[in-house]
Amino acid sequence: MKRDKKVKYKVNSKLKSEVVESLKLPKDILLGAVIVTVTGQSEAFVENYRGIVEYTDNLIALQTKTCLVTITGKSLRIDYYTNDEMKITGHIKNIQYSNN
Amino acid sequence: MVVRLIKYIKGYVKIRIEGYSPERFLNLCGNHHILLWDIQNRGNCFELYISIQGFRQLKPILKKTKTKLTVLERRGLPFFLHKYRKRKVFFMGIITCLIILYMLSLFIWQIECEGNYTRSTEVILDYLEEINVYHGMRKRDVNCEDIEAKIRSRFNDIIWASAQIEGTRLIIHVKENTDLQLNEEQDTEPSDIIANKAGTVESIITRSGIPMIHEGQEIAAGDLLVSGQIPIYNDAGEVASYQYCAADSDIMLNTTCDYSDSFSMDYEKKIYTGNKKNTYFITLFGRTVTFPLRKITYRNYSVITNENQIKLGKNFYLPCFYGKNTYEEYNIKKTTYTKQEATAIAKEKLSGFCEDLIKKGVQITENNVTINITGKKCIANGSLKIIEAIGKRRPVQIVEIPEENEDEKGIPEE
Repeated sequence: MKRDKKVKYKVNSKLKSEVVESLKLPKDILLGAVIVTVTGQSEAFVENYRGIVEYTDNLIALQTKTCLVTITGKSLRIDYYTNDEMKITGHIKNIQYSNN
Repeated sequence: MVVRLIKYIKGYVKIRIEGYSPERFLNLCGNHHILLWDIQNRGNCFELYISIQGFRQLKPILKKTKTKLTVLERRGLPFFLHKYRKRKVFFMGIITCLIILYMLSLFIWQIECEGNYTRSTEVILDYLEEINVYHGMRKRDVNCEDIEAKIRSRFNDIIWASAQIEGTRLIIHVKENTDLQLNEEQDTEPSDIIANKAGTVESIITRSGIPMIHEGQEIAAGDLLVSGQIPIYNDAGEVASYQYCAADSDIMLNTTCDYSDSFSMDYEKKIYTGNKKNTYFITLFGRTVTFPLRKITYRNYSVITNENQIKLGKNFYLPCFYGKNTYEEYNIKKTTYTKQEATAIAKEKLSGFCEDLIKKGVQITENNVTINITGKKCIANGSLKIIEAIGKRRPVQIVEIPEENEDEKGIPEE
């Protein structure tokens, strides 16, 4: 029963992404995809996230709808933080997406 | 920049949060739409900035997350005002400043003219002053439509005028009629032309009236040249009546003009010693203050004064002057002109005289001036033969012609 539901969800999400793709609708809104805009190595704008999981000088982990985004680097700072947008400055070394 | 200004006006605090999960605190702030900025991780605590408005909403979040909060800095206008709330004079100063600013904005501080070519700005400003539009007047007393109408009626060649107030400036736009042909004022009163000089007539061109002279004729001053009285003859060849008109004619006359000039051969020559002294002055409402106060010890000196009037903007002159006097010392030495020098000076004077004549439209045909140096004097004497336009108006003497029916009238009386 539980397995059935998961399969159904997978099919559902595949269908949804195909519909969004074919209709050329904005993915960030409908699929809840995270948008990361990186300028050089020192600035990153992140939109469409759920919240911060961890924040230290060398690591910022953000929970999004579909995955966990981990930004690692040196002396990372959050320039501003609101519900739907944040700006990170510092020396960025690595941006990693991990599904759990 | 604007964001920073708004933040400053609204006020913000720098806080330090410590606790089990500062990240959760951040997320909750985000969910409550509280803006946080410049978040920095300092080991086991976070330092961040938050607006006063956000700070007031923090209490339930702090309780929920069991976070400890310390206020590190208070910044912004609300804190500034709170800090200096007891300084009454300071606030009075701000208010007075605002009031003065407002009061100053009630007046016209600058009048600008645009689009004028033949009418200078000064002429227009002088006229505006005549109709009580001047620098420093109250803004609400300015009636733009009235100014426009008056400018148009005063200056014929200004065909369009617009006055507008922009801030504390009054801007006058005018449009001039550039291809206006100036109508010379013509007398319509019946008049004759008489001679104001004696000579020989070189040429005469008559536009209206009857010429009484011909080319080559000698005339004396006061002679009638062109008559404005035109006789009308009847069938019998008798003068029936007169028609009167304003005589109009160009008469060129051959005449002579005497010239005599003399000056002494001795003169005093200024020899500048090269010594100079500067003094500066300020004139306020007619009172002059000069500094430095030391006296000028030169025996003979010439003064060059450089005076400037202080003005606001372009055309608003204040009754305040400043400037510099330069005193240059010289010694007097008595000298005599050499013959060549004297002749050159006399010639220069003569040619200056001739140029003045030419400027008046006079033609010079012959120059019989001789320059003689006799003893201690240089004398230039002689006459110039010139051709010049002459003519003076005189009202026509209206002659009453006995009417024809006079006889008929006379019969019944008898």
